[in-house]
Amino acid sequence: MKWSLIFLLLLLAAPGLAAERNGKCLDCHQQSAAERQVQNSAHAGELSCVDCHGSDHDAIDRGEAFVGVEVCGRCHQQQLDEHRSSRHGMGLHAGWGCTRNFSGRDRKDCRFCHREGDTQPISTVQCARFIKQSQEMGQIGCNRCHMIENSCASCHTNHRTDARIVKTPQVCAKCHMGPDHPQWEAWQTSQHGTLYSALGSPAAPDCQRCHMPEGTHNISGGLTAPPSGKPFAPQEAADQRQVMLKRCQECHARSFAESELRKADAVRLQTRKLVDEAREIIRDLDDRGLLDPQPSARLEHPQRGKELVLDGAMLYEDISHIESLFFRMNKYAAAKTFKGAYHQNPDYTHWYGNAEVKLLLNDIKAEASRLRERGGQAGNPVTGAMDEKALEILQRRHQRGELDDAEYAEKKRLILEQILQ
Amino acid sequence: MNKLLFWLLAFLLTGCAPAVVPLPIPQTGDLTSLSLATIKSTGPVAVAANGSLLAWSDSALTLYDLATGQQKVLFKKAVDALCWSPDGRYLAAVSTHENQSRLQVYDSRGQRVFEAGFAGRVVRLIWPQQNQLLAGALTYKSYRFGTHIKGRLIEWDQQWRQSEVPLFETTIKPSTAKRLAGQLYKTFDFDLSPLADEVLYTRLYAPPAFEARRYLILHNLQTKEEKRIGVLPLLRGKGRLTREGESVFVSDGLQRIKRLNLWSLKVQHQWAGNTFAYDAGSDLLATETGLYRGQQLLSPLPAGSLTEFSTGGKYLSVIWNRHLYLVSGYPVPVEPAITGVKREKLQKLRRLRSRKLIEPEEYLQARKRLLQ
Repeated sequence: MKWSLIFLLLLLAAPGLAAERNGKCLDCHQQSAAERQVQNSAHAGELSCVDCHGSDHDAIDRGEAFVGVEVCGRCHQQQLDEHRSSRHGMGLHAGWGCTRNFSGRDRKDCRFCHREGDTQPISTVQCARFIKQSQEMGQIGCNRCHMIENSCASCHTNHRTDARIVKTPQVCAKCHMGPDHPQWEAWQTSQHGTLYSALGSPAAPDCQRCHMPEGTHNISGGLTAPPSGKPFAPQEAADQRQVMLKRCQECHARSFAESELRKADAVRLQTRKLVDEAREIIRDLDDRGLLDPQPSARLEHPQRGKELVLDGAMLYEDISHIESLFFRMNKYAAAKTFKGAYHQNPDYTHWYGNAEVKLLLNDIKAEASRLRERGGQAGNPVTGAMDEKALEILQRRHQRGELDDAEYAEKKRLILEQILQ
Repeated sequence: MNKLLFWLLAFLLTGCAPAVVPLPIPQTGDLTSLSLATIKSTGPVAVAANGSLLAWSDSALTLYDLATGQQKVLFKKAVDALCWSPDGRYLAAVSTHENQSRLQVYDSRGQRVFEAGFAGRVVRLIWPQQNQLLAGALTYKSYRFGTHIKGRLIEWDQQWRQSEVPLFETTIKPSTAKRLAGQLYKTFDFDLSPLADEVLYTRLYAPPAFEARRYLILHNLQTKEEKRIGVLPLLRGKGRLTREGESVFVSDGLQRIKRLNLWSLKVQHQWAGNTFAYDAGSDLLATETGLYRGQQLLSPLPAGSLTEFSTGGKYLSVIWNRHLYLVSGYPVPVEPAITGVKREKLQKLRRLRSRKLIEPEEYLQARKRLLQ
């Protein structure tokens, strides 16, 4: 009885304690927007400023008291675990790179990749495109989206806790839109988006309904195409497909959902094949030294140096014209094609996507012909070249896995025959 | 007992001082040895291809006419390296003064016909083709933190135009430079492949915190690609490329002379000794104790012989017991050199191999077909 009374008194006193702990902060921050937002949030009276920001005011001033996901995780552990197991929190650092050598760097940036007192980054993955940008461009153009890995505020905003903010699909649109991955536009102008406009949630499917059912923070459930473009292992893909089908079945017959997703899978593979074809054309030009300019004659790629980069670390600056065409094809048009297909949007799948992919492939082929002609290597890409160059190209193709050992040996043998004649 | 008898007989027959003691080798078949001179110190020796002229350097550079027996001092100081032109008409010698070298070329009468200076100190001079004279020179400059060394080939064509091929440059730690003081240039040695497209050379490697090493390296002159063949003691041991350019003779300074396959690095055969001479044209090997063709012993040589072949291998100079001898009359195989289109194609195949565009096995198969 006595202990229950003490517990009750402590419970009643808790908000008062928080207010007392806030006291010092509010001496100066009484009228701040942050304070007003906190007072209208679920955290009002529950948390003090120092609970999240710490009490070292110098550190706060230096930008070293960043409220990362771990701070929120102290109370919201399940959400943090879900977030970390999803693409939003898996350490992709897709928009990050070490800013150590940037002039006028913002020290706050360090807190996204380094825990306090630890010089080793949480992940060593860095984004070449980010590293190439100015500090300001990096902060607005890259970090505002890619901060999501270590910032709940990326979706929830800093001090409000109103669930309406994160239940609207608009919250996803900040990042999941635009030429490189127009999921929001594709959804909005699809049948699903139309239903949402007319009937609202929960009658119509929105981002949260399919990707964050029951409020899960694991947004990757049900996805079968990872961001790197490499397919999942068959069993893992099959398991994830079952997860998504279960969600589709809330409104659709299973067979219909299966059939639609299978079509989208096919579109993705068909598109990848076209992209691979274009990539091979450009690699071949690089092998022959016909790119203008060649990677060896440009500013170095921040991660790969003088190498030709056509994968996820590809830059859109300091590259040749044909690579620019490829960037648009791969990063914009191909992404629109299959993201449009998975979001059931006919126009994104076809006109913004597929048609652009194929038109750009035409452009790439035409540019390749022009470059070959200019370099005096028109015609057959292998036999038309000097034998030494041809061997060099074969070796690179073998190293890239395009030729198996037997094919490589046979093609080499044919070239050696030519030399001996 | 036999040896003692031999010496006694030699002394009685010649009635001379040790200077004319014949070289103690069995005089079988056409094999002959001529005792030429007593030398004051061991220096370079070179025999002209036809065996009519010989030059050596001890305290001075001396030309010896074997037909007349006349000696002529060409230069009153010791020289570092000597060689004859392939036709035997010109003698090249390199002398050094304070890290600067001077090439002097003499005609068969001993008249100087060309002279040129260049930086660095030379350990070897070769004249593989009439229009190509090569010297390997090492330059060095000392700093507080170490000594910067640079190895390069200096080439003269038939018009005596000079050009250079840089092979390496590196900085060695002060302790190694101090240990090798005065002998640093001896760490650099080179040989040219019979097809004149690859160089085998030695390179000192001694960065701070690493043990000093001397690598034997194969360098393709066209592609600049290199392959490390082995490690040698800092001042002993050398490598010479074989006739077909696929193997190398290596003396490792541990009383072993090995014939290694350049690509598999497998030992094909081994002889005892620390120094040797090899003539790629005739494929003859002379160790400190014997003259060989392949593994066949053609003639034993007295232990401790220092040897040098004439171009083509018909004559062998031997320094033994401070006497200079000329040995000849042993069988010399004559194989025509690979010339023309075949030579160019072989060079191309070797270039491809150096770039690892074809495997050594593929090269050998192609070479076999080409030379059939």
